Amino acid sequence: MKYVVCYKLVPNESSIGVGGDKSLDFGGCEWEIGQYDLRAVETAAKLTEASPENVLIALTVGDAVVENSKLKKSILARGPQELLAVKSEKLANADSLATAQVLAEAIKKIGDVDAVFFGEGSGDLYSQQVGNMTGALLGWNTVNAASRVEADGDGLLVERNLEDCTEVLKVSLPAAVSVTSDSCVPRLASMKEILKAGKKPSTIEPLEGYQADGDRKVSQLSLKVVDKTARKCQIVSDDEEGLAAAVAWLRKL
Amino acid sequence: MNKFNKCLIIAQSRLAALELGSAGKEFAQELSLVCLGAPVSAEGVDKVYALADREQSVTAYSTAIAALIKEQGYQLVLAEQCRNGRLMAGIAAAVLGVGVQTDAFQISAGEKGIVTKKLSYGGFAALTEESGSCGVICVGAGMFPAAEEKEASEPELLSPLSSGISTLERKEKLVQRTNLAAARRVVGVGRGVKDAESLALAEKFASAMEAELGCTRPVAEEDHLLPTSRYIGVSGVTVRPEVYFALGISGQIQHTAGCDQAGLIFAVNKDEHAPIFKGCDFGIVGDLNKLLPKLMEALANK
Repeated sequence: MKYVVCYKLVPNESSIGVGGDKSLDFGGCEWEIGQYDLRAVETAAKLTEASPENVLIALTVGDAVVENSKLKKSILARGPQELLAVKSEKLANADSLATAQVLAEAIKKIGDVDAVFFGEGSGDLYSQQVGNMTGALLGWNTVNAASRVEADGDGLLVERNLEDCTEVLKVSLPAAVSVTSDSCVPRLASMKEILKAGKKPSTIEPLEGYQADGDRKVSQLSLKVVDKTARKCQIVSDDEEGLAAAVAWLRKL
Repeated sequence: MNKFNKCLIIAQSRLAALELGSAGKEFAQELSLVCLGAPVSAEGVDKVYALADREQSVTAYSTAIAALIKEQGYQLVLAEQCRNGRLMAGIAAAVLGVGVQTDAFQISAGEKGIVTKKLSYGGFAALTEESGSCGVICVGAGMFPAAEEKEASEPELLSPLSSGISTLERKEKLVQRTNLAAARRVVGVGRGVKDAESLALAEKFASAMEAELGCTRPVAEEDHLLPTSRYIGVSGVTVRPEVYFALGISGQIQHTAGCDQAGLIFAVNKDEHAPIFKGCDFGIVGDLNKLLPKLMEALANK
């Protein structure tokens, strides 16, 4: 089987800077693989490892951050054999459909893909849509909320965890599957795997060669830091005095 | 903005169908409704569609719903913000060539289209977006008043045929209804609560404080100590109690974004450097397993 797993590089929130007008400054950000996407990587890696004939390709879109070698190694150390990234300044601010259009086209270009996996949502915008849209654009069987995925003959056995029920589905291929955040525990990349990852092939393609334009389809009116409620921050230790203060505070409620 | 001509509502629950019914009336002239669950209709809805076989997973109806949107030329799709609704929103958006606006805490008519405001970057920022002349919006519970219910007379049935997905098993879940969002007091437990014993202690404290019990996402999803319907945070429940008691919660923004609107925050944590101490009104540094019994005892002895 030929599998693809999609992931997004997102800024660690605690490293985002704040501009004077409460705008977000991504200049000095630390970037990481989206936490939810790591579940998709783990799911796809497990399926791939079942047979030496299986292939797993990691796929991402974004601006220059997709070239970061540490992040490339980080994803390749978790199971994928190769990586494809589509790069454009525009893609840093792409919305869900703009992202899905590029991913769907890249998946078609890769060719003969049997299944593509997604995390349930990106770590930054968390709209939980890109997997659904990509599957729809490809015209493939599309399933979200997958809490368990197993290979089953010529298809996949997928357990879906919904608000009021669970379902077990036989999904024929090709398929697009978005996994839930409690579907598995992602592996930690070992030093050995990270070293091996440096030798795995990775390709960066410019968006210019694609039909998809990467333009937002929903207009962004503003993106501003949320003010947190100011608090008194009276902190005490757990000695007698602190306990007495805590009890007094609680009694006043 | 001018009202959209044709709007399709996609709802699984009865209440969502009614709430989206009134949202639809606000934004569009003509309303159709696809019921993913038992057929129902709402005042203002002209046409109702239902699933031919509800034993089949909703995922098997994607093709049928995509075809319906294409044929009928809807410009606006309002989907219930549940897992099946989100899936259908994505399918609809791919047909219409637009993005989906989800998880909004504010939805209103803008100059050109529908304006939504949501938290992003784990609750660090608020993102305001506007749809164009076509839009797909996932609408959360309680965002609109419920429209008057109508009987769904002769709904047109959508067929799961031509789908490559078959449903092998379907199990109803016992859903634990919570009243967290409306609770006057809430106790939230984090990973400082490591086992059933500490959880029992936190439950006892919650009952002494007459508070509802909630938790952080890892407590529900990774430790499975409480159901996922009880996790508070940017991707879970937003609480607005008079007092929030954060027990063993480090204070990651993904969680605190869901409790920041509390009147007062009381925190217990072992780690004096935990970020929660920078965002609480009163904090006590110590082991909650030792502290909670002492606090409860002292409070009981008036």
